[in-house]
Amino acid sequence: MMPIFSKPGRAIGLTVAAAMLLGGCGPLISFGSNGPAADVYTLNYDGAFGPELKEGPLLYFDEPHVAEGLSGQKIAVRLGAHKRSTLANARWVTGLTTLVRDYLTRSLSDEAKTRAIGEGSLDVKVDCRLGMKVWSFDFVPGQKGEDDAVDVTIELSLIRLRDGHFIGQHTFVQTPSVKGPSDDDVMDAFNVAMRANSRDMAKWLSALKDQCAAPAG
Amino acid sequence: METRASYIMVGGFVLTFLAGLIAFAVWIAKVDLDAEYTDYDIYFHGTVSGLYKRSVVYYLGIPVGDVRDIGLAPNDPQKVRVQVRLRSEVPVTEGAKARLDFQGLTGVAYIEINGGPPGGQPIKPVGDQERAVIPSELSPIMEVFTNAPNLVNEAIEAVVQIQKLLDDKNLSHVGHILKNTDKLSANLANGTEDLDKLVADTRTLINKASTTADKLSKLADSGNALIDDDGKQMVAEAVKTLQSAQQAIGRIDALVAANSDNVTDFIGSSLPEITRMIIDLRATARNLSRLSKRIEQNPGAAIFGTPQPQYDLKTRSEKKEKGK
Repeated sequence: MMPIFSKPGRAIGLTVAAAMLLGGCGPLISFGSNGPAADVYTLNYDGAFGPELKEGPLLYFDEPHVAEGLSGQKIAVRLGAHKRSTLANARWVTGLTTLVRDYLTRSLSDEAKTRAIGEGSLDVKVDCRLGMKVWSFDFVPGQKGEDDAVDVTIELSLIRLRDGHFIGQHTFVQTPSVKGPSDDDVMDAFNVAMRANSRDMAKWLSALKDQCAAPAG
Repeated sequence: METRASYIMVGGFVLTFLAGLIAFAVWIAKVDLDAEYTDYDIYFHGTVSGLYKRSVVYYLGIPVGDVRDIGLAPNDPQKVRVQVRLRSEVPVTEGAKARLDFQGLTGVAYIEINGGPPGGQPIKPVGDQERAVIPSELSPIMEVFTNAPNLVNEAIEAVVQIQKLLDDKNLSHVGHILKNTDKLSANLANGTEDLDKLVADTRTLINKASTTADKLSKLADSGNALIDDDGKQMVAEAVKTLQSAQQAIGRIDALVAANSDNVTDFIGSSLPEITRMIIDLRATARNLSRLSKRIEQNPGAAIFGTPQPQYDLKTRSEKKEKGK
């Protein structure tokens, strides 16, 4: 026999409980801020894709290590020697490490004519590992708009995997000025810096990559 | 007259209202006044947490009754006796099983009865039983709940072990071990080449010795006067020993050749990948460590982030972040 009023009572109880649960979960549910949506930017290599080389040393481009504060999607701003901030209303399309790795994997395989692979290559036998450290990837506003610049500093290390031999290391720095007052101009400057760094890196890598295949000892 | 008529009207109105109220209550509670019921007992092993009087009893998912009473089983404190009242038309036959189940993860328990095979006899009280007993079985979710504490404990132990395994000290040790393995493998590979040469030289030497021994053996068998009986026996044993040695060297040669390939393959392909995997593992462990520290220090900030001023390019100044 069904208990008298059990169903209506249960329904009311469930409704109240659901309302309380929803109310309680309110602080956990974020609907975003009321401000304008952020513009999303990427790093775009404007050169060709790397040639399909059959021979030559194969390089594994490691995921970059980044200085503190650069690992997310926010765009770093350097205000003075020690103060840091992030750019309002703009962000990277994905984490900076992924952007830098993808850019350099493509640009260096093109410009240094190198066989290079990035993420998802643990099952491939490679000759060298290219380690990366992003020391700065900052927008640096000046006193006036025409003094604005970006600072892109990336350190590369080349390690021969066969014997763990440390072939070489170099730090590449570019600080191009920002041509205008908008976020787009800042992003253009970042792309210019990456392009210039990439050219320098290609020269450095071309001179060293043959050591990847050299015998141990 | 008017006063008396008013009482009748008021009384009639109240009675009509009460009758309507009762009819409404019966309608809204869907009470079957002419329904007949049969009581059963169900004995459960262990806890019936979440089950209360008036909890619903389902038969193949259809609500057919409710729980009337819950108590410990007589003569067995590890069992719980649950008295249920089911509609008489429900076919509780031999082979029917009752089990405790839960609605979602809310903890509200109910009893589900699965019917016996078609054509079965209705179960009846046996001996001095007051009511017929429906056998119970453990539901899958009850099995999970029963085993969950063990699983959680094992998972915690596994996590602790992984944390121990992935600490910086151990990772450093693994790095050293791999480095040493690399050196050992290189030495082994070089040593294998020397061993190959040694085996080849030994084989040549043994062939020569074997040939000489054969000649000696033939000389002994010929009954040459220079060889006496002890000399014959000694030469025969020497021939036998050398032939055994030659076979053993052959086997070693094959084994070394096979291992040489494996060692070379291991050095050439596996070690660098293992090194890269360990590098990735170290990075992951470092990130996890950083995240756990952030959660430990400020869980809210780790999940939702901390409000930070942002640089507005238009105003060329910092502004407070909104909405966080």
